[in-house]
Amino acid sequence: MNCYHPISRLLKSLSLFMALTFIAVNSQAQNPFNLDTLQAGQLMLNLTTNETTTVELDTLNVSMHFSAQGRDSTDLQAEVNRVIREARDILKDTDNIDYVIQQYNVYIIQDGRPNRNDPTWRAQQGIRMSSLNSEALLVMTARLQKAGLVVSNMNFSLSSAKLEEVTRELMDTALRQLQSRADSAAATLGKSRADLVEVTLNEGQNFFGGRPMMAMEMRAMDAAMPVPVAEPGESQVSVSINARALLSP
Amino acid sequence: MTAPADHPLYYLAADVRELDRLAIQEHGIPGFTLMQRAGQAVFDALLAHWPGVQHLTCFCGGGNNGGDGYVIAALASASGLGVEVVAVGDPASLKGDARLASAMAREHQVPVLPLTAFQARNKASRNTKTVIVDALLGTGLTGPARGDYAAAIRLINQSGMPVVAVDIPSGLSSDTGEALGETVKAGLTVTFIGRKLGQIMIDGPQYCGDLIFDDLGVPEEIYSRISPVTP
Repeated sequence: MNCYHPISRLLKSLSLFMALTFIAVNSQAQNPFNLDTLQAGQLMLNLTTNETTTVELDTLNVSMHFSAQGRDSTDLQAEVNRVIREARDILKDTDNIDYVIQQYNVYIIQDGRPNRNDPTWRAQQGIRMSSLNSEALLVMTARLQKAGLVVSNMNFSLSSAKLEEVTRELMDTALRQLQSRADSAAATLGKSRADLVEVTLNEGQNFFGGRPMMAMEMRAMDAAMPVPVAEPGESQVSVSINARALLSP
Repeated sequence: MTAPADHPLYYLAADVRELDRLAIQEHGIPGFTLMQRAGQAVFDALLAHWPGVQHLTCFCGGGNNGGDGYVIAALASASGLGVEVVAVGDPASLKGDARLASAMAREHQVPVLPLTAFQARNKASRNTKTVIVDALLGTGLTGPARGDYAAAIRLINQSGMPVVAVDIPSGLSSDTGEALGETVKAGLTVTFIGRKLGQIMIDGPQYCGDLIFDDLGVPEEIYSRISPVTP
């Protein structure tokens, strides 16, 4: 999975863009960002644009766990270990599902008649899985159900690679639109050229993860259902950019 | 909290680090003292486990687990055993207690080889009464061993020689017991302060071999401050 943060990539692209723009403008003015030093006939134009697109969530995340309860915590531990090891052995044979084995927990449960000398214990351990291949993960989920695990959560999210790709496309569109609007304003105002001299990316309040799928979860827990069903759903990705354009005669 | 020998308690790595911290900061036991005790515990255990041992090859990483390995090497040298350290990473960049331990090994004239030199030489020589000490990676590992560490683990596993792991076999998750990638397959593991849950879960038993616990003489009081994972 690509861990390279998309915002870093975006900022890198923007930095390059701004540097190039600055070089272009610097030949005309000592300080293009200072309104006091604008040359005769020049204008500074403030622009804002917001680009949004709807994108299909591409990563399925499934959390499953196995729990057992009884009087002997050591037996419970052995039972949980056996089931989780079996699940891990099944997962090890796949190369398109990422998984993390979660921490083992054991605790006393209140089963109506608390008995401090002979308590009832519950032991539990989970596995969190994710995959771009949702079909494969759903089949795996069904296999693990047969091994004794139950689904505790299932959701779709957007992978960092997809987010990076979509954000880059949105930024390209936004920058082209800003330049077009600056050109249009320049033409209207009788200027011959428009240069973007300052560009600010506003990080959107995008939320791409954890679209809950309660209905699917319930169905997935039904042992009679061989393969759980999951629909990915969509989410919106936004990029907002503020810019200043120098309009010159 | 103490437990009968047939019902030992197991901890998460972070909790054992906290036990370690309590022993050092609240009970004034220097970290280097604990490191020396850990080295001694492993050395005693390996002599008892393989009484005919004549030579130790200590694979030492760049952290405190590696520091334990340097102590073991120094003890072996002082006892008249043949010994060498195979350093993964630059020994000059060791810090704190591990640095002190490497100085201790130097004082005992323990030869320290870089991994590449050992790889080249290893093809030509093999002492049949050698035990390998795995002091590469400790309990903080969260992902597969990479680079020279992975290469060193492969070398250890391919050697066919008996291996003692210091605290936990390198490559094994001390919390889940999962072999995270290349993982040392030890015949004996000597673990300190608190037993790690990963030593008995999933792949743990297969990679740890026989398990010996040593509390390094830390005050019993600290165990009442941290709850084990297992009751």
